[in-house]
Amino acid sequence: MASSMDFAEFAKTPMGRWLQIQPGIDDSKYTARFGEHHIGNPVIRALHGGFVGSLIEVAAELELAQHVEDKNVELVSSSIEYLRVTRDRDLHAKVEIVRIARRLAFVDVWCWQDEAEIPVARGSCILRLSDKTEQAG
Amino acid sequence: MQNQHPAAKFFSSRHPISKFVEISFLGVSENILTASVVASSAFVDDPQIGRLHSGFCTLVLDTVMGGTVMGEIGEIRPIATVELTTRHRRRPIAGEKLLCRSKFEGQHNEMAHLSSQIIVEATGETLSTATAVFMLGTRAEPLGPRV
Repeated sequence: MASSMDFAEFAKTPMGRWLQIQPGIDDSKYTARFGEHHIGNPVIRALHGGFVGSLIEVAAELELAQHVEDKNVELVSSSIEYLRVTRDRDLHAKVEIVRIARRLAFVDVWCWQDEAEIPVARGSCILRLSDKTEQAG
Repeated sequence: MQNQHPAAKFFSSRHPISKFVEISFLGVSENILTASVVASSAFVDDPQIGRLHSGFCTLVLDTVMGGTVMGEIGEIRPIATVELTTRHRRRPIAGEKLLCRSKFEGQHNEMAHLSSQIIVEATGETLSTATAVFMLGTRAEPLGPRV
């Protein structure tokens, strides 16, 4: 999202509905409610790696947008490590802002299902910051 | 249907993600698999201009690289993404016709290494690029041999 869209606004978009994103519970910041269309491996009913990656990218943008309200945020790259096999249940994400510079920000995201201490994936994201007057690409 | 490429089967309507993303297998040449996909409005996050979220490209790149692995090993076999790095340039606009090209870079010790890109079919403009590592074989049994 190039504009600093807030969570409620994003959740209403088609992308928010596809993710089935909700505010997180406990110490989670974002939760994607499980849907059959999130399955990547129907045999072991594991979540799609691209779905996990999508939640990581969305969580990084939504969280950063709260810290730089006068800027547009746009994801440049994400590097995701899949730490454990996922299952057909909700996926939670929490975000750590590593550094916010003038034009870039570095953000880490951790995903888990059963317990926050047992992560299933982690992502390192680089996001571009631009003035809200600048046209997003 | 009998000689369908494993990637074509993998991208078929039976896969859960196909409800929102239609990926069509076009062919393989010199280790590069090409698939077509239309930017689906189901992934729009800026309704004013119909722009999709980068997660759409991440999903497509992961899927097509997974299909490429299955094409190389000759069967639809459980695989798992171990690492995925995507770099996004421009976001697609809903309805844009895209091509995804995925290259099987090599395999070593049950790890398959791939690279891929999404381009605009009409102009060749690169929208996103990715590299990934897949682990071959998971706890589940293979879905069947290549026919």
